[in-house]
Amino acid sequence: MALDTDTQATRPEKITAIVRDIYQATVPLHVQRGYPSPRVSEDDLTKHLPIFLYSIAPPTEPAPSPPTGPASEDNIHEAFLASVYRYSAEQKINKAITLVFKQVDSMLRRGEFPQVDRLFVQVDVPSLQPDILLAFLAITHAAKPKLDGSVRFIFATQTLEVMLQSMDNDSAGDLLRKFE
Amino acid sequence: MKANRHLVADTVARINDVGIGIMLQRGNNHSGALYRDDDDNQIYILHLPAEGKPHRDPWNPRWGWGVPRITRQELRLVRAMCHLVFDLQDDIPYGFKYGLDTRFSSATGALTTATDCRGLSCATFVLALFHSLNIHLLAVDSWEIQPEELPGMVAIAERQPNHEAVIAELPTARFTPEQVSGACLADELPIEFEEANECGNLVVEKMSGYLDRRREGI
Repeated sequence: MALDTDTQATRPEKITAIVRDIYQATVPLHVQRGYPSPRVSEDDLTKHLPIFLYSIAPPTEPAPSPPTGPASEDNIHEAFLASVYRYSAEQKINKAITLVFKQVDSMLRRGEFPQVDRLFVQVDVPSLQPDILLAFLAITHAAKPKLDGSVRFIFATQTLEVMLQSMDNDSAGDLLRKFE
Repeated sequence: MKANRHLVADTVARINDVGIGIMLQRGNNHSGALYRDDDDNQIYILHLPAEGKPHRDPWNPRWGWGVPRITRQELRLVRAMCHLVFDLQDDIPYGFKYGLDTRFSSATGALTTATDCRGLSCATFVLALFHSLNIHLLAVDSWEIQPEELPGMVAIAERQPNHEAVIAELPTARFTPEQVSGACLADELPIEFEEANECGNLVVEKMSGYLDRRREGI
């Protein structure tokens, strides 16, 4: 990612600082619950932190159970995300966005908020176009109070990093602020 | 405001994602959202002609249209919102009163209306589609009650199945199809009441001229 001005350079640094703060705050909780210390280098924080965070963020949520069959929730998510990845790779951005809107909206309407949280963790952010990532944030914006804030926040942080690869800081920031 | 920009009435080929449509009708104009369908790549107009489910019709040249000055990313999201709202086929109550909390909300199910607001008109239906994605076309707080609008509002209300409830909202500020379409002429959004009126009048002027020329075969 090319950063040629001081202004451009500060935002990723701020992101990293915020992510690092969250990381440092959550490690003691993680260890306290008997998990081994996470082996994540600071450089890889933004890559691995969502998965780590998820494991400790929702205290009342049981750990995701392994898939039990073709109709299991994880399989449904995987099938849905596979379609989104395929549309993204084929540059069918609008189809991908519409699919995200419909799938996530139907989950929210059914009150499946923990499942939506889990979906945020499952998404391979760097594999998707920025417009598609924004769709995840836009369709869940109204449901923010019912979703896990840290998981969604990390997703937004990663989205911003992807956006900054093709947009200037101000445009990416303005856009993300509307949906984050 | 750039008078010659963003408003087109003859072809929709340039719409990649979404636009705002207006149809001039005697006594009461009508508005809707134009969007390109993902599957057949055709342009449809999504609109709320009366209380009930939103309608979707293929675009025809009676509809003029413009594209508001927002980012391509936002246009794509509004397009997806149009798909979603049409597919849901929720019943939408009719109402003139509109507030900033009115939106199509995936958190609560169907349309969420602001306090004391009953539902949507054809114009606020379009506003809500954009507003649900935090895109504000009009500076809603700058709208005031226009007494000269009241007779027309009563006439529209009387055509609704629950007309007494709609009339009970009056007097209230009215957001018109012209004002909503006028947002497409603005350089910056949202636009205030005065600018929306100015832009709206220009939309009608341009549309009238276009329809006159079509009638005369020019």
